[in-house]
Amino acid sequence: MRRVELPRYRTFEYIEGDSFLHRLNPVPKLFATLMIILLGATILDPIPLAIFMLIGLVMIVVVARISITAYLKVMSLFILLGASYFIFYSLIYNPSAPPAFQFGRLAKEVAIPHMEFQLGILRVTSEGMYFGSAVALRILNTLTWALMFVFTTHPKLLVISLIRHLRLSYRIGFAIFAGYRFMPLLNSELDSIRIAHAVRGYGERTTLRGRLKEVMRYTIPLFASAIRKARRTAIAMDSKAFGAFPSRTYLSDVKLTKTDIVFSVLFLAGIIILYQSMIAFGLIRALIFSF
Amino acid sequence: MTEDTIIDVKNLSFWYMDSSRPALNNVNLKINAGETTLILGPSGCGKSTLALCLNGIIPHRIQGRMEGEVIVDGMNTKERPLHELTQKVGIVFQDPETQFCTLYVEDEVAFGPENLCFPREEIDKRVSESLKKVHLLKYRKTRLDRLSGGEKQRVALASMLAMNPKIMIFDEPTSNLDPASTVEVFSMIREMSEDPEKTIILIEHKVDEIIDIVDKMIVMNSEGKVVDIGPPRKIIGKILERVEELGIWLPQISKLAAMISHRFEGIRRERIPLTIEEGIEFLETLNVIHKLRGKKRREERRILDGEEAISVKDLSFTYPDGTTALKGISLKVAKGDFLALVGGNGSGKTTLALCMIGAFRIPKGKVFLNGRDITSMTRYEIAKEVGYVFQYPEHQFVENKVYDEVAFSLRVRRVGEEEVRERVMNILRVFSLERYIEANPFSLSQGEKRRLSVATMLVVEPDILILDEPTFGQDERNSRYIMQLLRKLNEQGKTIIMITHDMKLVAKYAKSVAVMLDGKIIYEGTVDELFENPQIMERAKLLRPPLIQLSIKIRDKYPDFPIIKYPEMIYEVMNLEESGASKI
Repeated sequence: MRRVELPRYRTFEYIEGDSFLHRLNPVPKLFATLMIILLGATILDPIPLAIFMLIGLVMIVVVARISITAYLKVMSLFILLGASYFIFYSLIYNPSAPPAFQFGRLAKEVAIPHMEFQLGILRVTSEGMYFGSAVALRILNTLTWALMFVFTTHPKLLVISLIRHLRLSYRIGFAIFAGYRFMPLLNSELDSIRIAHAVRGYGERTTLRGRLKEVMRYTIPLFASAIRKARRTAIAMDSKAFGAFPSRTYLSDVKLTKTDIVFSVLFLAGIIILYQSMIAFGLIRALIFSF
Repeated sequence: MTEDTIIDVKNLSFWYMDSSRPALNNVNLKINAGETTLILGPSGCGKSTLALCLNGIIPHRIQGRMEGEVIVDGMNTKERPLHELTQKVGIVFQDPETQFCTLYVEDEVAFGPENLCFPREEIDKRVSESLKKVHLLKYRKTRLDRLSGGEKQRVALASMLAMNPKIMIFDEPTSNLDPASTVEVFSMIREMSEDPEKTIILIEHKVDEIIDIVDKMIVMNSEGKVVDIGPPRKIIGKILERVEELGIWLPQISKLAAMISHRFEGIRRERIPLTIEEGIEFLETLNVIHKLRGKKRREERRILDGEEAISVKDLSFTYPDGTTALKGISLKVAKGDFLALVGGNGSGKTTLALCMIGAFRIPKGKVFLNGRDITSMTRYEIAKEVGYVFQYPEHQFVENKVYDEVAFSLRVRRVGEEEVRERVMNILRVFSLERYIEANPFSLSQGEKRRLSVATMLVVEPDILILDEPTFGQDERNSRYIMQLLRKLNEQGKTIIMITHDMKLVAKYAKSVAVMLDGKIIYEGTVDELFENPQIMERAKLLRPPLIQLSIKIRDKYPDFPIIKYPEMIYEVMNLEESGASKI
C-alpha cells in the first residue's frame, strides 16, 4: 500500500539554500555549534540566554535566509513546553525552600528582588519567574542553535565530511544513509501493520499494559521486514563493489577550506568573549556550577 | 566451449547454510556473449540464487556450501575477488526501494564507480552517460523517493550501467511495479538487448511482453534443477503440457495455439507463435478465424438487479498529511459479484478498499455494508460481514503459531474453544496447512503465508471477501490455487472484490471491473465491455492481455470475431469440451 509518509519529522530537517552557512563545511560547523550549545547549557539567567537565542535566530533568518515560519513550525511544540516550565516554576518556587540544588546555591549568590502576588490560591514569586524563564529559554536556545545546524547542513554532505575529515569509517557512514532511507519506509509499513491489526480485531489499547503488548505486536513484523530489507540492500551494495578497497572516492565533493575553519573558530571565539563579558558585566550571575 | 561462451556453469550445486535441501542442484549451462536469456521457474526454484552465483555474491558474501564451478568471462567466481566479478556482471533487483543506499539519483548512479575509486571526473562522466541511456538525465539531482517505481528501476539500471558490465542480470525487475512502470522497464531492457555487446539474463514471470527478445530459455523446477535449455519456440513447444506441473507462466498466445492445434491437427513445435502477429498468422494458416467468427460465449450477465453487498456513495477521503486519495467515489457491488478493482499505483484502490471495511474514519451515509451504514457498526460486526486480505500477509499476522493465528479471528469474536478447534482444523486442511499448526507464521514460505492470510479471513465465513493483490509475488501454482479458490467461493454465492494489476487475472476470473484513476472511478461495468473499450485501458495505463490485443486486431478485419479473454475460452466458444489429454 503506497502511502505518503506523515511529515512530522520532516520539519526538523535540512532546508535547501545557498547561503554562507549552507556552504560551510559541516565538521567545523558542527564543532562550533556543539560548543555554543554547551556554553548555553551552563547559563541560568534568562537575559543572556535570550541574547544567545536571538543571535542564533539571526543566523538562521538573516545569514542562512531561512523563513521564520519554518523555524517556528519546529519551535512551536517547544515553545509550548517552555511556557509550561515557566508557569510551573513561577508557581512552585518557594524562596525559603528552593526546589532544585543549583537554584539553592544560587539563591544565596544571586540577589533577585523579591516580589510576589496571589492568583487565587496560587502564589507567584519573582524568583520563580526568573528561574522558570531561564529554564524555558535554555531549551529554546539549545534548539535554536541545533536548528541552525540542521537547517543548513545537508545530511549527505555531513556524512561525507565526517568520513573524509574525521576518518569515520565509510561503512558506518553508509549505514547511516541506509537508516535515513529506511525510516520513512518503515514508517509507512508501521501504518499498514497498524491498520491490518485493527482490521483483524485488535482495538487500540488504552491501558499501559495493553499499549506495551501492542508495541510488541508491531515490532515483530517490523523487525522481520527491516532485517529482510537490510539484507537485500547489503547484497545490492556488495553487487556494486562496496567495500572493495579501504577507501573510496566521492562524486559530491566536500572541501575543507581555511575559510571554514577560520570562520568557525572566530565565531566561536566571539561567542566565548560575549559570554565572558556578560559575566564581567554581571548579566550572567547564575551558572550551573560555581567558579 | 566455444569462444563465444561468456558464462559457463559446471555442475553447480549450492546449499544455503542450515539447509539440507540444495537451492541449486547440479546446474549445467552455457550462455554466449550477446545473447538474451530468459530463466523461468516457480518461486523458490533457485533463479535468484543462480543470479547471485553468477555475479560472485555467492560464494563471497553468502554463506553456504558450493560445489561445481562458475566461469564468467574467463574468471572463476571462487577464485577472483568480488569487486572484479561485479564489474563484469551487474544485477537489477526486484525491489526498487531496497536496492538503493543513497538519497539522490546521481549518488546512486555514482555509487559503483565511487566504490572502485574512480577519479571524480570519470565518475561524473559515467553518471551523465548512464542517465542519458535510461532517459533520466533531467532527474540527476532529484531525490530518489520522489520517483515512481518505473523510474526507480531505471535508476537502478543506470547505476548498473555506470560500471559498464558485460553481463546484465534482471531479477524479476517488474514484479513490484504497476503496468505503466512495467512497460517502461521492459522497453529499457529491450533497448539494452539490441546492443550486441551486452549479454542479458532476465528472470521474469511476465513472459508475454518480453518473449520476442529472448534468444535462449532456461526452465528450472522447484528442486533447483535445470529442466531444459534452448531457443524459446522449441522449449515452449516441449513443455506446454507440463506448465501446471512446473508452475510457470507461458505466453498466452502459445497456450492458445497449443489448445487449438490439439483440436485440429498436430502442431509443429517449431512454429509455435510467440507474439501477437505470429498468433494471427497461426490462426489464419489453420483457418481457425473463420470457424470462430460469429460465435459468442454465453455472456455473464451482470447481476444488476441483485441486492447490494457494498455500496459507496460519493465518498471522498484525504489522508492526515494532505494527500487526497478519493474524490467523490460512488460504487455499487452486487451480491455474488466478482469485482476487480484496477488502476495504477496511487489511483486510490487500496484506500477505497480500506474505507469499505471501516479502517478509516469516514462520514455517515457514505459506505454501506449489506444495507447498513458502516459507521453504525462495530469492528466485530464489520468483520463478520467482510474479510480483508492484505497485500503483505505478514502485516496482518498477530500470533506466534499458525493455529492461534487462524483461531484468533474466532476467539476475538468469543467463539467457544470447541467450535474454534473444529473450524480451525477444517480450514487448515482445506488450505493444506495442517502440518504447520505449531509453526510460527513468519517461518512459512511466501505462498504458504498467503494461504494462511486467506484462511484467517475465511474461517469467519464472511459473505464478502476483499483481497489486495492476492497474487502479488506468487508463482503460477500458488496464484492459480488462490484464484480457483476464489472462483469456487464466488460460485457458492460469496461476493469477491479483488484489487489487482494483472489484467490477465481480470480477464479470466472477474465478472465486473471498476477502473480507478487519480482517486476517481473512470469505468464501472462488465469485464467484456471494458476490453472492448481500449481508450479506458489506455487512460488508466492498464496493459491489455495479449489475447485481447490479438482479438481486437482480428476484429479490424472481421468485426464478428469474439474477444478471447484467456486460452481456455477457446473451448467454450466452440462449445467443445476440454479433452482429457490436453490438460493445458
